[in-house]
Amino acid sequence: MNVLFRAQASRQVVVRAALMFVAVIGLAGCDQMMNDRYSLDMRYPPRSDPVFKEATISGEELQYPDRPGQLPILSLANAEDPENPLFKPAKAGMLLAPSKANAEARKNLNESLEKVFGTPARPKVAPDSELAGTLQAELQLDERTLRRGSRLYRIQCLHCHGLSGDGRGPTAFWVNPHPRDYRQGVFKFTSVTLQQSAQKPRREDLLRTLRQGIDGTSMPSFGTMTEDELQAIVSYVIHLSMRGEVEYQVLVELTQNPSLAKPETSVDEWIAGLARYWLDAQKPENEIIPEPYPFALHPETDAEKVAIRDAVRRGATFFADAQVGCVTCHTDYGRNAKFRYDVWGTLTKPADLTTGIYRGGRRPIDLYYRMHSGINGSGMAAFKDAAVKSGKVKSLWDIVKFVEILPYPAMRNEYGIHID
Amino acid sequence: MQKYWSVLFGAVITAAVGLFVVAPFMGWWLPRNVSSFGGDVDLLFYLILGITGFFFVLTEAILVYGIWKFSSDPTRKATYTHGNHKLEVLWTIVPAGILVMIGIVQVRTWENIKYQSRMPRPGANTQQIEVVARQWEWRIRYPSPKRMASWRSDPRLAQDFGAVPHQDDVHVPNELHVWRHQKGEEPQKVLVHLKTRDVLHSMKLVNLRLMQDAVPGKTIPVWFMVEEYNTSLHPETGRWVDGFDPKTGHWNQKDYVWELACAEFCGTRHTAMKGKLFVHKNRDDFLEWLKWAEAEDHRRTPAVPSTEP
Amino acid sequence: MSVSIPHEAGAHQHPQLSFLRKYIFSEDHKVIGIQFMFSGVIFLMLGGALALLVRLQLGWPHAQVPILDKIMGDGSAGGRMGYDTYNMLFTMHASVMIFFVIIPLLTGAFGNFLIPLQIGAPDMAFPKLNMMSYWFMWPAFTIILISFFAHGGAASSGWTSYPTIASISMPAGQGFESPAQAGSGWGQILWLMSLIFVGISSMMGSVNYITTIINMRCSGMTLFRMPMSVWSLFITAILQAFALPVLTVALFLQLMDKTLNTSFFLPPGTLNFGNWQTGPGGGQTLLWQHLFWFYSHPAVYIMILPAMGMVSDVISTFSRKPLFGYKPMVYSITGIAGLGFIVWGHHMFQSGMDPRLGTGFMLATIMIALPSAVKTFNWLGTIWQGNLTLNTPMLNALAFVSMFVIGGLSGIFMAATPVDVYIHDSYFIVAHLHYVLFMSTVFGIFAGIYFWFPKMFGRMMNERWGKVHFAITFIASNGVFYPMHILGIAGHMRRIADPEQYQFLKPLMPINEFMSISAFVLGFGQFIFLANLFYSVFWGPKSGRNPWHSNSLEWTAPSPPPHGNFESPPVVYRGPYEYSSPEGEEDYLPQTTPPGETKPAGEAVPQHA
Repeated sequence: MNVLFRAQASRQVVVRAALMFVAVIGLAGCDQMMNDRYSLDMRYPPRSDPVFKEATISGEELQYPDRPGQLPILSLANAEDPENPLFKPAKAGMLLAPSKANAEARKNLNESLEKVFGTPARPKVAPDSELAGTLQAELQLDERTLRRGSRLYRIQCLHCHGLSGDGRGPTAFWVNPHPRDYRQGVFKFTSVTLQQSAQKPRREDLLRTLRQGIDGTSMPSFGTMTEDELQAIVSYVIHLSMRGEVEYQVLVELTQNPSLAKPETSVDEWIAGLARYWLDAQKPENEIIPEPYPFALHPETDAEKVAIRDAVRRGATFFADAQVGCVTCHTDYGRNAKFRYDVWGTLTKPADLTTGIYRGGRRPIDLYYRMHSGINGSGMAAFKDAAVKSGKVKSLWDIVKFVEILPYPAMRNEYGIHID
Repeated sequence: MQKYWSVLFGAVITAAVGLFVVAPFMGWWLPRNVSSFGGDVDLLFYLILGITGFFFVLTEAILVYGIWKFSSDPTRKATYTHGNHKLEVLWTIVPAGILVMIGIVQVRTWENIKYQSRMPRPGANTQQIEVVARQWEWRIRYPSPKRMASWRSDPRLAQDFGAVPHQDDVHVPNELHVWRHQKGEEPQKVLVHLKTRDVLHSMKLVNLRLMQDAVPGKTIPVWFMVEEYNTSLHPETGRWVDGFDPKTGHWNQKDYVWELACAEFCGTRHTAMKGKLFVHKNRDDFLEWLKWAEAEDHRRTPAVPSTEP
Repeated sequence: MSVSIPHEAGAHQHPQLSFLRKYIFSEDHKVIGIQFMFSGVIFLMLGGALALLVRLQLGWPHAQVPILDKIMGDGSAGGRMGYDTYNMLFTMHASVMIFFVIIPLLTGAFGNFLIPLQIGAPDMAFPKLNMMSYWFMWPAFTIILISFFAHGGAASSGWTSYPTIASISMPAGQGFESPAQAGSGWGQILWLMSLIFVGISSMMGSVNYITTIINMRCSGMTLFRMPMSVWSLFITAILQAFALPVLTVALFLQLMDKTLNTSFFLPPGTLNFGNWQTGPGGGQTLLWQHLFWFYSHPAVYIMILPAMGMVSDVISTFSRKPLFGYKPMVYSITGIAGLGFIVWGHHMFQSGMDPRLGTGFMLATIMIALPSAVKTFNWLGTIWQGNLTLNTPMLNALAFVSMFVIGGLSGIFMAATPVDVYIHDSYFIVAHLHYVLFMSTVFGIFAGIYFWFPKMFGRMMNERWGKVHFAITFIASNGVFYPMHILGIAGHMRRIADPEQYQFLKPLMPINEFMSISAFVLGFGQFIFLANLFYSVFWGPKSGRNPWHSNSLEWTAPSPPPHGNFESPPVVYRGPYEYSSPEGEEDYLPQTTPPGETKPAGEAVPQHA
């Protein structure tokens, strides 16, 4: 900080002091108004919206998503109503109402959650075991970082993602796709080889989403914030997700087993289990390592161009395969794709691949990740094995290359792809 | 006693004038200007401020003095007059003359900033950037280093940048990178192709004294030229960080953080639709950054674990 | 001074009307005027409350406000005001203040009350039309209030409702919410409907005013013997008559865009809002801005001219001096009205409109400052060598003059296109418009209410509390709006909920805090006025016919004037501003005093100072 700026700051201190004097007279008793953090007496609200016994994806296809102002699952009031799109005979009994759980047990659950995870103003991840130290060190879940994250989250993220990370902030109902509900513990865009049910994102995955935003949705880029601010937000999001998922899993147990009166032990068990998932995801050996990129970056020679052309054609063949190919969902390259329910109970649709807008990121490596491990919770499957086994492509890069050129008419011409 | 009401008027007016005197010293004033035409805008601003300030003080002084001097006095009768033709003519002609003068002197600056005829032509020496506004961020597209090199060999290739995106173009959200123009050298103008995907937005760069709405269905050309720079490769993070003061060589100087704001109401998160302007020292530094950004935007290998700050 | 109370013969000549016909569905222009006045005052409270909430957010953008956090946000809002709520607040603040406070108060209340009385007519030309013009406001009132409870809240796109954020609609059959933002759905539709009613109401009023002023002036009341209030209301009515149809058409077009999936304001091509897509349209986004400002720029003058007229009357009366330059004043108003129709483009300098067109609009805009300057100098000329009575109406009128100077001069910055490039849509414009619409018009309205209150209700308002109210309002309102100039110069954008998002705005937060505190002082200060108003209606001291020793015709009628206004049709012998004339013994000479007589007829009670 140079001298000039410090001088300016001190002048502002004087002005602020004078104004505070006026403010104190005018607004005596409203001391809370001056803060830029959550008030100390604020608590995470206990989960009241329905939980799934088992997250499933509806196969029904719809022309339009839910209308602005709606979130498909808002209450259980009409869960059993045949008019409710979520009601399926197969699904009956899948939706569970937290209110059906034992009131005493729910209170205990909240207390033990607060003991471990703190409050919005004083967030922490402090399970009563040796795990605490590992979590705080390896996932940067120490209290200082979390407090900073909580303040930034309150300013930047709260109005969409909500106080408890439930994706139900005041704005959430009016943007479509809806903001992510972290409490399911499922994150769409990951670069982890683990199987989907255990798949947590790496910190880099969350950072990428913050830096690049999610094009095509209302999630903007936060790349202009500093590195450590972003890191703090990532830590706080992990905190919210762990807290929410523990609550979610224990609530599933409670609603199914009303006699379970002491949920503390369940809380501890779930924390231990989830912490392992989160820690595993961060391990370098579980990161997706793609084959080396087989093509020239800027093809000049004929041989390089022919190699790409062949790859693109292989990718196109796999894409169009009626059995396992992409076209089964990305109808007409995604231009005619229909909406389906995802595991959060919101509507989503396969991407339109002709627009050049990729929610998971437009870098070739992002496309590779998506094809390799799928998009968690959305119905986009992992194609790592299916694609290579089909014998139609040499590696996933063939499909990536094909998808990369789809939005560009000049390149489609060059490589002889016709999509109209 | 009635005349003391003039003190109230006088005090408020004095406070008003005082605020304008004090504000520049408190840092509550025009932000640092770094664009080529910003100086003209500021000059015009100060010219109008001088003229209006003079007439403000004049009329308010007459008013306050009038209230003091002519407040009720039972021993006196008001002067009976319906007006004064000469005065009317005088106070019509003089302001009219001043206003016409203000009107005429600004035309050139306005032409310079906004007229299509003044826009730089796409070519080898024009920096071209596509800025696409959407709810609620700026998605910015740069030509790849390869594409820029091709413009050097054949300037005609630069014509289609605004209309035709290429697969190897570089996309960086919310960061507007350009390079500096050095006084006395060949002009280094920036041509922005401004678009929007959904509603009205407005690109406002206070340090450039520039603002232009983005209108759905239209591509609006915007040009500017920056005469200072504010970014340099930060040796610790390996990234180009703004807030760089060339004189001291320090980063994070508030005077050198130049923000890009949305100034036309665009919905819920309008308030946070912000970006940053990064000005590089010269074309070479910009190209170096562009290569780095291209590598990031077209990354084909896993990210190197980010270094802890 | 002789005191004589003439027998109020005219008061009971009309048949007794039922309470309903007399006070509710009244055709009497005075009752309608007072109805407009109270409606306006009630909506002023609503608009003011919205403004305070806006200031609350801006002063402490990250604050958790006790009590309000429970009302404003749901459980997941974390005690903060949501951005959508904020957007709704500033939109509805402007809409309510402009369409439900200023226009009804100026043209509705004062237009109705003053025109027949000041030109010596028994009533409006079309009393039933007049009643309809008030009762067409009621659907508007109702709809705009309902819109606060609409799905998604009330309109949130700013009072200008620019497409495409305001006009975007869902694909056919997918409901009337908006994919662009919460408040652009039902709230926007209701906003459009409400404004259409306001427009129809104003239209009927303006036709009535024009007809009345042209046809129903009493004997001797030539055009150039009309008080400035009537002149300004006359010009205002003409402005409304010509400009309003354009707005009404624009409102209908946007309403069709929103409900019938037309695409007048949708550009060719599709627009993307996450999972929703609209279009392809084939219309023009900028068309709305042209239509809207073709009305709304003249509307700016609709919102200031009547106040100018009333202030002229008040200043002349309490300076005990003829209005300086009566005819130049009239020509200025006419000039403002004429030029007002060819300057709308200055709202669109940065909109993507051809900048060459901007040059033309700039020159016209610069010149519109001229008539305003002439008016200001004439007011100063009126005060000069007068004998000022500094009572509440006069103080408010003087505040109008001194604040209008600020509002007028700051307009020149925006008119200068290159400077506008920088300060467009910044707080500088917010300061400018509040100096014109709040600091000028509202002080003009206060002056008018304090001045004509005795004529409306036959009672005086409390002078001491009036002065306290004036002092608080004058100081606090400058505290709110003056620093906005500084914010604008420093680049503070308007319509942003959280200035702390930007580094270059962070140093300005102390100013924002100061303004918010001033705003609360200002807001709560208005309760003094309300208390004074309602108390005085019932318990104020009786005023008599002419408490201010004023010259114009309304003061020769009883207070309050009966149905039909005057005991006998008045005859006018001179202009309305013959104060301190050497012809008369007193320092005033009413318009009805025949030449040769030196004393004003009628009662005269001691002047309230």
